[in-house]
Amino acid sequence: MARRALRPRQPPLRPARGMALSGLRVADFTWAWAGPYATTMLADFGAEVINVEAWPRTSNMRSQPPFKGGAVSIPNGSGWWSTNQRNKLSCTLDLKRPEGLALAKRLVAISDVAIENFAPGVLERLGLGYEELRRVRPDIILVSMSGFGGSGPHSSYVAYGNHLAMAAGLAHISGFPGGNPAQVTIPYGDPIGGLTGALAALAALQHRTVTGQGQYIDVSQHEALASLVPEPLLDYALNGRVMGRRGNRDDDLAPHGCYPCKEENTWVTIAAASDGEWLALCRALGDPEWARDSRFEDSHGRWLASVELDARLEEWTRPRTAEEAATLLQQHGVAAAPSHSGASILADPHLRARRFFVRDESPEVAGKLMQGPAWKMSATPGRVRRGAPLLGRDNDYVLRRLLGLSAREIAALREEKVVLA
Amino acid sequence: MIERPAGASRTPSGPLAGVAVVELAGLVAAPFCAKLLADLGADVIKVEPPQGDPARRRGPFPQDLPHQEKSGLFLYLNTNKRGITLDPGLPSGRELLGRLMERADLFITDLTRRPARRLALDPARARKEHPALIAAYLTPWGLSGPYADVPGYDLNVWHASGLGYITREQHPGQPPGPPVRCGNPQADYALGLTGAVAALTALYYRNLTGRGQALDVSGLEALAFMPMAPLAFPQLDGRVVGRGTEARYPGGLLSCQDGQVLFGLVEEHQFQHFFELMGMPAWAQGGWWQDRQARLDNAEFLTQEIGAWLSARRKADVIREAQARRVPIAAPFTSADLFADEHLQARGFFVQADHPVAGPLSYPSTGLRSNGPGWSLRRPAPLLGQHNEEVYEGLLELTRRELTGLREAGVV
Repeated sequence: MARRALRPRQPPLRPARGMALSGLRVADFTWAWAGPYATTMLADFGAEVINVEAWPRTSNMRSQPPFKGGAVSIPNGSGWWSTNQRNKLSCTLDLKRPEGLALAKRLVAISDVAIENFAPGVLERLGLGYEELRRVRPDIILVSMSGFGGSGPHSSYVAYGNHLAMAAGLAHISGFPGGNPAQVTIPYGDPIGGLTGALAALAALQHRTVTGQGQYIDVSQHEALASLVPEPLLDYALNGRVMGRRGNRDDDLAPHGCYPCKEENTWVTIAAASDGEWLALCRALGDPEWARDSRFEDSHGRWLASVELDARLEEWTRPRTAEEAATLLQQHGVAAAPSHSGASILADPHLRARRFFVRDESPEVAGKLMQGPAWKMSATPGRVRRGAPLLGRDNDYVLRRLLGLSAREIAALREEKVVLA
Repeated sequence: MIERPAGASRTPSGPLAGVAVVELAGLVAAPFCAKLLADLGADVIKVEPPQGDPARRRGPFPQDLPHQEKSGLFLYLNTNKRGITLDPGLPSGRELLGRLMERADLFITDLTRRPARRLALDPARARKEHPALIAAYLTPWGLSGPYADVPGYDLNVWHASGLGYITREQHPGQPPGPPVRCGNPQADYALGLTGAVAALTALYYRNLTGRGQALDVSGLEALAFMPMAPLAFPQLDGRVVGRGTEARYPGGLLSCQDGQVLFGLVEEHQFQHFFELMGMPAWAQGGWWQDRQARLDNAEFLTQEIGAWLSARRKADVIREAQARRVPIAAPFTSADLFADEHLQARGFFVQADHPVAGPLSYPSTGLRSNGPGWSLRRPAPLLGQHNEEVYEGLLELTRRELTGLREAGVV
């Protein structure tokens, strides 16, 4: 594994200015959530992500709640959209018109990566398929992210993130024994598909750096999620057994649960893996008499007696707030944390200390807190540099500065409604 | 044009060929991160303590009989890696690890702040000793902040991130139960996936500048990034997103003759096409269902009628006929359903590998297909210490006698 000198095939378009992906340009044709989630990962770390909003069919994220005061405000008022689209540029092009299509191709010609999550075949029908894009940019990296991938008998199946969680085998093993399959209220398949799309783009960039070659990558969000649920598949492959549901319990460990606290619908999770952690838990609880029962002496015994153990812990958590319980347990070295709602998480002392939340600067929701970059880098930290773009905010920058159109040409495009706003 | 992973032999390496990775980690998150890179062509050396990765002691095992070379979890998480044993707590072990890190592009570990310091493997030390190295720390809470030295498991991270609070059973119209985690460690897998994206971001920068750096990838933050709308709701319109089922009403998980399907339509044309599939019952003639509020007002009635129609049909037929009309319906697939799925079969999602002890086994592959060098399964997970000679003698140029000495000292 002698280290190969990895040198870029050509100098970057612009010198890196302190961010990991400075100089990287992404032509972003995504909509809904999985695709935009992928490009958020790139934009937060310095890539210039130009979201081509194929108007009149602009991103449906723009019409998704929440809105300030509950008053629907499309296209610039969605709080979900504004979190997800920060750091990106918005350029509105009518891709069904030849002029719009030509401009999209010119944009791809000066981009490193093109990324999209239309249904399979849509990009080709628009005239922006891989072969077309390669003609304008021979080393282009095209990432296509569809629900079920671009080939196979179900490639045209329609799915939202929740359907993907069903079809990928995650829902069946989640939830309580005897109950129904459970799933996350947000479409969990989307962020997983999005991360996978970002991984695809970055891996392809590495390949391009070394070889100078671009590539086409077909991401199946369904398979992406299924590859994160291997345990039931391996159990089936090894033993022909179909895994069921266990609620919050673990196969080997106890305690391992989510316990109710003082206020209505507040909860704390507690897990103890080793004997040392069990003893720490006992100390945190004040060494109660019941914990000296010989059945709780070793981890297998605790697992066998987990129903009683859970009842005892619940007696202890009920009179306490989730934060009190978690803090006390943590001070004794026990794995414990509140089960946060979207409201309580904003006060989490750990996330606050790490400055995870940042202020949104998109005009209609300015001041709301949102998630900051998803990881921390010592030399090139991610940043929120700009709020989410009002529809078409960056048309002039893209058309004039990047593509070299004159003011008159741009005015004509606006007149013809090839470009909106 | 797109190569299937089944054609692995035709793609001996992938987009990450030439990238050298050292992994010092156990169980799920960080090994999964390194697996993602290994499957895309990186040369990953997995460093295990002499007693082995704890994943070797977690099932599923064949016939539930524990065996350090037969853990399904370990076999899955460590494909395409070379494996060596080493005790980083001993001075000579630490020194050898340093030599491996010096040769690597990436160091991936699950060491939290305190043990990292104890082993002199903390970010500051790694950056000083190996300025070109990218050192990625994948931990439950991150390397700073009040939780940094507290243990944290998938359970704690999933719930603390806000995802447990909004994970619900599908009981239309019923009050929600307690928050629940997923049936496998999703927080660990999502952390591993996020860590791989982070690592490649840093690699992109290093290619341009030659500079390495430390990555602090926290499971809590990787997961808490996802519930964007639930974080925004209470701030903007005062509502807290919970485990209710209103969002996709009418519908939910409804029963067919032979099992359940998820009925969760969003767009008007989907309702229209579904009601056409139902033969457009008299009550659906008026077109009032084009109004979202009207659908909500009549949700109970609609759910009942749709449920009655579904209950007389088989789920595979319902899915096929609905999807033919571009109506999204899916079923909560079991592992058996996934293996039998014609779509996954056609795409070659399951791949076979023959492991010298565990034997031939079908593995899930990936959601990535490339027309260039892509994902491949080149070798099964390593036996414990399988590549000790190859790495210590071949790569680090130790003599046979030195290696024997290390073995006797319990370093290897």
